[in-house]
This record gives sequence, C-alpha cells and structure tokens, in this order.
Amino acid sequence: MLPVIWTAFAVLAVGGFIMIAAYWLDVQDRADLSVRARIGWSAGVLLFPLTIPAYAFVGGAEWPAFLRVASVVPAIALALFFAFVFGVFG
Amino acid sequence: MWGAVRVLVRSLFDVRVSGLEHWPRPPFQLVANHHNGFDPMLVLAVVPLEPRITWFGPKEADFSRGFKNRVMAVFGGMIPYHPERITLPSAVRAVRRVFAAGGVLGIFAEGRIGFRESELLPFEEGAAAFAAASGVPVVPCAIVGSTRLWFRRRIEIRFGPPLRTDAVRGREARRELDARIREAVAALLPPTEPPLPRRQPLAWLTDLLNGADDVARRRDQP
Repeated sequence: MLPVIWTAFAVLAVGGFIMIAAYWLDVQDRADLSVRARIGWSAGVLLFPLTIPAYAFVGGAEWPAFLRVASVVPAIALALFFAFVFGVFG
Repeated sequence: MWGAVRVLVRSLFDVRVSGLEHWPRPPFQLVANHHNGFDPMLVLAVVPLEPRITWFGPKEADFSRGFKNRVMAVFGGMIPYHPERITLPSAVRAVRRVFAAGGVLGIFAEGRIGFRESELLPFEEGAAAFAAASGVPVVPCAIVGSTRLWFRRRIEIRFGPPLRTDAVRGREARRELDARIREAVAALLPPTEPPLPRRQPLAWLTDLLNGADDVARRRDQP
C-alpha cells in the first residue's frame, strides 16, 4: 500500500505546486479586484491549503468545476506530507 | 513526448478540429494564421502524429535563452530563421529537405502574432516562395480562439481545401499565389471578433509562451 500512497503523494505534490502557481497568477490577473483585495489574496498564499479552496469557491474566481476540485490538491498533498512525517503509514 | 503534450494541451484547452479530410498525401505545406506561442502545440494536439509537421520560422536563433525558446528547443521539429544570418535560398534548401523526406512544413505566414481573430496581418514572403519553389500543395489553416487563452477555452483548428502550386513560375505568379493563400486562410476566419466572457480563468496562459516583444505589442494595442 505504501508505494501507492507514495506515488499518489508525488503526483499530488506536483499538482499542488502547479495549483499554487496557477492561483498566484490568477490573482495577479484579476482586474476586478481592488489593490487591497489583491494584496490580501496574494499574502494568503502563505496559507495556501486554506486560501486556494477559499479563492476557488467563494473568492469570485469563477473557476470551472475541474479547477475548483483541483484547488484542494495542495491541501491533500500537504496532509500526506505530514502523515509521512509523523509516521501515520507505519 | 508528443503524446504528453497532446494530453496537456487538450486538458488545458477545448481544442476542436475540422477539415482534416482536406489533407492531401504528404509532402505538403500548411499555412496558418498566428495568434499565440501555443499555436504549434494547438495544431499538433489535434492532427495525426504522422506525417510529422516541421515548423518554419522561429526567429530566435539561440534556443537556449528564454522560456519560450527552451520549450521550442525541447520539442524540436523546427527550421529556425534569422533574416540577417540565413538567406532565403538556404532556407528553401532546408524546406526542400523536409518535403524530400515526405514531411509537412508548417508556416505562420504573418511572421508574427496578431491580436484579432477575424483579421490577418500582411504575409511575409516565405509561404508562397517555399510552395512555389517546391511545387507542393498548400493547405490553408485557421487557428480560431488563441488570441486570448484561458482554461478550457474553445479553440478551433480549421483546414481548408488544398491549393495547387505546381505551375507557379515567376514573381507575378508567386504574388498571385500569395494572394490566393491569404484569401483561403481568411475564408476560414470568423467574420467578426467573437465576444469575450467577463471572467477568463487562468488568463495568464495567454502570454505564457509569447515572446517579450509580443507581450509589449499586445499591451500597446488600443
């Protein structure tokens, strides 16, 4: 089971990095955001497991369903990372 | 490698193709309009892997500099052209080698990217010259929807009926061929600019593979 989880983690980690970049660039591209809102969402990247889903679902991003689902990928990847760190998988 | 690119491009964008039945037996020349650095990949995402398309005309001679150039260097299948260092006859020789191998030459006849879906920029001399020099048919191609890119944008790759070039001799005939090619590509374009949606998710994809000069030109657009 462990190799499967490792593989899933690797794929999700790569996807997570891509989502963080996609989130950041999308925020910078939002002409409808005020400067304060853009600074807020940009700073929010430090809390990316929470802010990316928040941005996707309630941040006015109007992302299609696929991206909304993918917005939780960084959070899942981070959770798996800490699961490995704390030996959850034995 | 190309399989992965096709999956990636078709995941990012909703790419549709029409007119593939117009493709003659290779060799032939594909003449397309140009809106974005993604254009070669958009075409390759929807056409058969064989015959292979070799793209003519990336102007950057040094493929080790810049993100766009590095991407192009990884994928290969190009004949770089630098007007100050490579003469037209030597470019024609390189093109003839593609045709001699039964390949397809792809060329963006405008020579630089345009920013309107329904209009063409003036053509450079290469498209008609290569076709006339080699006598291969020209397949007009219109890429519709790549001026601005966003996640899952619908992009249409349209191919028109091939144009014969085997009886083209002399400057006047080349000019007439150039006009025919332009007319054939223009006929595949939409009559008016399509409306853009208010929100364009991941709109930064538009300039991801565009050169700095193209980005600057877009910024200066009215």
